[in-house]
Amino acid sequence: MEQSILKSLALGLPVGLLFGIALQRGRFCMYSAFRDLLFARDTTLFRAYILALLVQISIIHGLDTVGFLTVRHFEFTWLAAIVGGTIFGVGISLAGGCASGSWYRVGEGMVGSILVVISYALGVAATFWGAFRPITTYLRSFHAPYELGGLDGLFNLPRWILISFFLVIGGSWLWCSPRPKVYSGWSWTKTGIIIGLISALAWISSAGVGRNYGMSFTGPSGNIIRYLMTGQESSLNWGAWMILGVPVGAFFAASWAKEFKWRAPAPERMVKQLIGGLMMGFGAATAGGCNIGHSLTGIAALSSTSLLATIFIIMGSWLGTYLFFMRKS
Amino acid sequence: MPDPKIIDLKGEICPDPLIQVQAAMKNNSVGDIYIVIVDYPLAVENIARWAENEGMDVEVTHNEGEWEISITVT
Repeated sequence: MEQSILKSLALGLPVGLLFGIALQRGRFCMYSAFRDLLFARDTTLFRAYILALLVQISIIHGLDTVGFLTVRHFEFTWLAAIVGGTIFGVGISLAGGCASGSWYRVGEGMVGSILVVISYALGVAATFWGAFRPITTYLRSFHAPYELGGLDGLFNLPRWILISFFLVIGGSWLWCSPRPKVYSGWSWTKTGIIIGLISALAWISSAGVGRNYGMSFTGPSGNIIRYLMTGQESSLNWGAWMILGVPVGAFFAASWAKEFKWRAPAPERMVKQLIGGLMMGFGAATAGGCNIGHSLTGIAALSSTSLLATIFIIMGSWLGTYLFFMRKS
Repeated sequence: MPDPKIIDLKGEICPDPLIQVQAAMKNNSVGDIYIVIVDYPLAVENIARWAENEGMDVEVTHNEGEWEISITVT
């Protein structure tokens, strides 16, 4: 193995293991966080998400200001964010979990999630390098001027003024929020803080291999397929090792808590999961990120396109939940 | 005391567990007891939270990847 692969493994895998443990103990599924807002009027998991965002934003922009990290926003590919985000959102409802949610559930013994992870990764690879590429290339050709790609540029505010605004508004909401009893796993406050810290650690760790970004699931999922199909060793990068650590970390956490069990839903539900995974792969690769690359990391990097994609992921997940699950009950 | 009604949701995944519990408990009356069996960790929390928010009494027991959520309508 080349030295660069070993370095990616040494830096990426531990972050993935920690992330897998935190996702499993926190039951941190963003499909549930988004869905419960509307259909259960329950903001518990969404609060964990907002807290993780605020923790990560403070740390990474602090480190960027002192010159330790480089935090840059994406190009504002607005049409791809809208279309890809919506398809990804509908996909997570069919799959029964978001990208990170499906990856960590593999470690809990969920056979349906194994299907999702495979079809999601295939969908990403087909969109990045295969049959779906022309559609995505067209959708991604629509972009706004680069300076509008940052939320600071979009709202025409200095970066730290905008971040302070987020911290004050988000922080006050969280401070006043209820802390419901927890029956298994972690409270939303513990989950939010730990996910936020690991997300910041991802930036620091991946900077060690010259990668200026935080946690992401879409590129790494596609890269695993690319490596398996082509043997191209450069695909086994930081992200690929990180993501492989997630189900392993979740397995340790679930086993330790005596929660590991092989289990599978009914066959027709698994077919929905398979289709959902493909939609997630196409949607996320088109939008340029999933609920992690956009909603957790991209928004923290103040990317306008990540905020737009996240809004459409949320609406897509509501649409899918209504169309495929709520209507029949 | 009425016999508890069993809602067996083993193998069900999101978003079905909560939707099915809500549907099964639509026409409940005070004193009814429901035992919900799930093997989907996340569903334990969102079913228990929903029932608590509805003002019901909730107890949860765990056994090797399966949970019994006992809900009493108050």
